[in-house]
Amino acid sequence: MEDNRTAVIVGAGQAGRWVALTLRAEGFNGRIVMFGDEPHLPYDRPPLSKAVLHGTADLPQLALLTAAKADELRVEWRAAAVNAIDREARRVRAADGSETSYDWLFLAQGGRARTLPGLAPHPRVATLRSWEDAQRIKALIESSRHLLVLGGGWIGLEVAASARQRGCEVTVVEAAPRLCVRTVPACVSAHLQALHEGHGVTLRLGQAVQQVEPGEDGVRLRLAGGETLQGDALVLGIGLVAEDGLAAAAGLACDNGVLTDASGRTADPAVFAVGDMANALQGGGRRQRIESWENAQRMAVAAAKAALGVAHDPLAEGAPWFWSDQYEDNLQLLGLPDERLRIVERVVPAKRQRIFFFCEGARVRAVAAVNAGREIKVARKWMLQDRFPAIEALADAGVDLQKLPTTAASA
Amino acid sequence: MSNWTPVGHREQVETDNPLAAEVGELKLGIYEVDGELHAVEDVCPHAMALLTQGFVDGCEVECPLHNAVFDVTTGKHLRGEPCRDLRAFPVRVVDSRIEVCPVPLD
Repeated sequence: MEDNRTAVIVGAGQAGRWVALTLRAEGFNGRIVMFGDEPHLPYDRPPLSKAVLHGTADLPQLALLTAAKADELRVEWRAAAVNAIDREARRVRAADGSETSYDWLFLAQGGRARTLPGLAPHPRVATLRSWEDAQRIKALIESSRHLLVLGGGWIGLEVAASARQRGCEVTVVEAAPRLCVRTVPACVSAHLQALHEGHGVTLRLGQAVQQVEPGEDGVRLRLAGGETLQGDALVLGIGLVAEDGLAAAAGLACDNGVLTDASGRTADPAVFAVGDMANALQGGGRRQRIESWENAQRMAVAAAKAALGVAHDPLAEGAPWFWSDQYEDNLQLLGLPDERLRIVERVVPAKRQRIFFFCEGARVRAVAAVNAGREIKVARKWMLQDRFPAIEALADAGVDLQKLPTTAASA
Repeated sequence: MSNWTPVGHREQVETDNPLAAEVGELKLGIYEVDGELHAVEDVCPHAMALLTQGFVDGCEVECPLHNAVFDVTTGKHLRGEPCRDLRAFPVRVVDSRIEVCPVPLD
């Protein structure tokens, strides 16, 4: 049966790709037009701070949607930014001058790397968001003896680890008193600090930057405490700004991202926003903008299903999940760790494993785990079924977590 | 199909607890699903990780590093990070010894 409807996707990344895949998987037979402001089909961004900086991954290996797959799925991909949305006429205008009418509009634009106010672009200063950014940082790492990293969050730490592994001297400057302060409790920050110091990274914590002075021979950072750091190049990893300008200009409510429900619905029934750019309801009326690969997929799938009227609850799929690879370690977070919860620690030195369970009563609410991907997925199953082993048993490194008997937490 | 190679004992594999085996350079995971053994390659095609160290639930294994999920009875990639299917290999039990043939099925 012919379907005259058109889905327009603005943004060609993990989220945009999952909107397209899900629309087709759910049987949508109409047009799908995907706009991206980069000259590439959707590619996977997590390797940009790791394998790409090591020179072991090329763009084709990062493909999330190849040209062949786009053809097969009949996704019309356009390498053009969208400049304006006319919500009344249900039409977008792209930078190439074209206009496209839509029945549904999916905004999946992600965000842009935050930079410092007043800091002009400079060849020795870089941020990381795109393939091209990663190529620049790779070249800076290769030509630098000492790399400065501003920001001790995930991007800053992954870049620091990659640069260190490639032989750079690395100094990380962070304004907060500990690493990854927005996403993990102090116990996990302490683990990350020991990991980086153990690999020879110099950390300057609790140090605000007063001035950045890039020059021909390097970059100087003047810290508020009076210290001056000198390096060959500077990478800024100071956060992501939701790309919500297009949505705001179209009159959609925005506050640190487009305001949506858990499935990416905006106040306009024809418009959805998903992934990094969506400040979404997370259950219990709480709002949060989650920057992660898994959240981009989860919201994109939910929005595509919501548009088609397919019953689906993204919050029932379990707690948010996140990973970071640094040096030889793999760190995973499940749920939102909160240090006010009871923390049970499990350490298995032979496997270089360290797991923090964040518990409330008989339940595990969140998990932070180093080199324990299997265990974190065992915990995910407990949380989905709301059945848990005895909390005391979690710390016993001698038992296999999957073999622990569980009981219903509500019993 | 004369190159059956012993890789371990039957008791070394149980439901949700696979055996990591090696035949020359080839790394294999041997899984038990509903009493039957299945052998698939053990290195996740997405990134360097051994799937036998991942989470096994029924016929599915989830990579310990990221979230690629495979059916261990067929090798098919089911969900998660985009990557190819796993190659599956013939496996049999002879006198409680597990033997695999290092030539992929299909």
